[in-house]
Amino acid sequence: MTEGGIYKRKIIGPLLTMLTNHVFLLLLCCSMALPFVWMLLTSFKPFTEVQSTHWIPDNWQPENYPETFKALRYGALAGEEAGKWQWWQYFTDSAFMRYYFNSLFIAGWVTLLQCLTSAMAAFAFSRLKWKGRDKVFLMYLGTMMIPGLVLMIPNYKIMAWLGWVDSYTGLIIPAAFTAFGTFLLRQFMLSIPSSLDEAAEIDGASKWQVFWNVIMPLTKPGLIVLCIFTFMSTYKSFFWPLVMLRSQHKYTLPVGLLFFDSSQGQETQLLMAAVAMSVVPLIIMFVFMQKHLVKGIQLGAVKG
Amino acid sequence: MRTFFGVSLLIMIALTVLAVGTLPESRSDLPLLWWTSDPNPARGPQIAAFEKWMKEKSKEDSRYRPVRLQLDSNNMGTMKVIIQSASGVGSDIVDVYGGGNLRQYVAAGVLMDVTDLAKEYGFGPDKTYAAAREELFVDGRQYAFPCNVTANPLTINRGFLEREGLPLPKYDWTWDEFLEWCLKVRKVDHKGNVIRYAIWPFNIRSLWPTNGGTIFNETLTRSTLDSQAVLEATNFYYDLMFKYKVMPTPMDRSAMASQSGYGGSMLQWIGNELVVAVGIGRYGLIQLRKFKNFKPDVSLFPYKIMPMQFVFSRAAGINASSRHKRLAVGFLEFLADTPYNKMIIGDADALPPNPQIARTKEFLAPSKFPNERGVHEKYLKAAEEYGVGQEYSRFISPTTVDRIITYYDSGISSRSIGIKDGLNLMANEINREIQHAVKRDPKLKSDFDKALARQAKIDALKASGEPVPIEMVDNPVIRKLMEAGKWR
Repeated sequence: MTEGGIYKRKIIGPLLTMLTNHVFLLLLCCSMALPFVWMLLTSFKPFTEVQSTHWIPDNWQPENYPETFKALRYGALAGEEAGKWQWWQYFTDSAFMRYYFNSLFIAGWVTLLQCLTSAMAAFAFSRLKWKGRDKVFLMYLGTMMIPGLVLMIPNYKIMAWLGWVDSYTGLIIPAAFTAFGTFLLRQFMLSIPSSLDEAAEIDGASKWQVFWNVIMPLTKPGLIVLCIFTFMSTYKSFFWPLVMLRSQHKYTLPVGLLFFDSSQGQETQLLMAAVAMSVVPLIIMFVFMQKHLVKGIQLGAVKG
Repeated sequence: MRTFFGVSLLIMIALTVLAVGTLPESRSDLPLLWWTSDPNPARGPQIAAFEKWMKEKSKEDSRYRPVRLQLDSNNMGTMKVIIQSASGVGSDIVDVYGGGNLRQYVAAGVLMDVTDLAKEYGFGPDKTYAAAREELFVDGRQYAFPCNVTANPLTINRGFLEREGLPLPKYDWTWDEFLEWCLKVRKVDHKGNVIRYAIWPFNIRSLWPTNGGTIFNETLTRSTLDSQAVLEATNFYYDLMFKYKVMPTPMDRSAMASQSGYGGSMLQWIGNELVVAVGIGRYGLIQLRKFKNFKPDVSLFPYKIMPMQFVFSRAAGINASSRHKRLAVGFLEFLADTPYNKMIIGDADALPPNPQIARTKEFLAPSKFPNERGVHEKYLKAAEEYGVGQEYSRFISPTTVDRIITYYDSGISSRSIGIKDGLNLMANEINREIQHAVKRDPKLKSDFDKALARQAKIDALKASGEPVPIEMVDNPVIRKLMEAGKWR
């Protein structure tokens, strides 16, 4: 082979492949980022430019952000202008902060409970030996195959029967149990050597102590992943809160934002400002936890 | 691990105390009324005003009590309202979007008959627009009262016309006068392409009554969409689009939206001066006020026989299974009273339900919007003087009629079907659906036979050239034409 041939095969070839891959990935990244960029730019546009096909606002309007709070203010009189607000009014006078709080509050409870219940179920399915365990697990896992919408009506009927419609309980308790979380943590627990349980039991530990003092600390990476997934999915959940909630004071952010698309017209610029603010917790979470997120995706693929 | 879960649990418990403790219902023992309506920023002030109104009324009349009203904007779907009401968990007050929706709710037993209560508490038909009757009554019984009313005449960018020195519109105008104006205000570039249209496409049904065309006959037993009057009006509409090019076709709209950079909304088009007139009611001003220096004017849809404007409403009815019916009736009374009507006047959310309260300085010449002087009166006049109720036949579901008309109209506008053929198909399909509905329901069949017998009498009177007594006629458009002596 000539020197030129070797050069082409060893240098140019891989370089071209790498370049192609990078261009492809860059395009993919851009296509993913475009809706987000559009959202951010639209949140700075005045109403008259919202439907414009120009992406960059001709007149930048950062006032859309405080206006979002004012548009959702409590108890204003008809036709009264919101005027200039003191900083504390954004917390006391705007329903937007309440929606924010409700979303974080519900997501917080669901995450906490789901981690506990999933860990306990996963422990039972992975560390305890009992008759029919794997069959029950398969059945439990089978619930993941049923589309959520199919369960919507029976779930709603149960909630109505329990008197949990339009309550925080109705949003938190049904979401506190999940086959996905159980599956995820079971896979993780299966990778922990059983000799650890045996050693603890020889030392006189009860099943609860084995679970709480031995297995749980070792499952920490799995729990972090479950926390992230659960928090994110509950925080952005729309349909179940939409069906369950009636009182505005209990609305979560995705439901509350419907106010910007009412019979009085669509306030797209305010909606985009509100959405931009609502994704902040998720972005913070992503920045700090991205390492664990990737690990979580791998966890699901680990053979038990 | 134990510390983490323990601390998290404590934080969540503290947040729960905060969340539950700050909920309004945990701070009050007043009766709670639920109102199913849309998530509109105006609802908050309206609720506060109603609560205040009930409180003040309760001081002078023992039939009233202070209440709390809460919005339930998540359960607006017709099916959701019907199912929840049947299960006994529906809202006390239900918004009704037009006469078609009203008839669905009445048929499903959702709404309470308020005819007698309306007389007693003063929210009967005399407190609203005559043309809104079809939106509130079914078989002569009242089931709702309007939250707001609208006629959707042509809203015109008068400021632009004045600035460009273009002819101003007339309030009521014939087809010919309208076409002449359209051709003058439209702008064409040197290549012959239209760069500014006169009018945004509107609902074709708006033109039919202006030529004496109707969807149904006098007794609402047969479709008359295959009549000469409807054909002429439809031809005129599509001539505006295809022959005179004063109104954009769907293709023109998408082409111009991308070229101009202003998207596809009609309000964006009129606000950015790509079109001069759009068919929208007073509520359009809420958005149009955001365009700097927008100065509106109002005209009726053009006519050949007589000007007419369909009247629409968003009304409220009482749930027949409500536990607080008596208190909920107070809400309908509130809708007819001054405080609520003043709020509608203030935020331009269509027309106030009670026109008697509309004629105030605040409505006719709002000080905050000097550009709108004289405009609001024109919207009011369109509903009061030229308003007509929509044609709802009890022998066919209004949604079926809508579906059939929309389907064939889209075929006509895309030119995949001729105008005459399209109208014949609409009429045939509506008549076929009427026959199916009547065949399925013996009670309806009996009413239908009676209506057919009455129709035969009307036809005989018409054939002999004798006048037809207006009491024999159910169709509101034909009644309006008869009152004006224009029915042929």
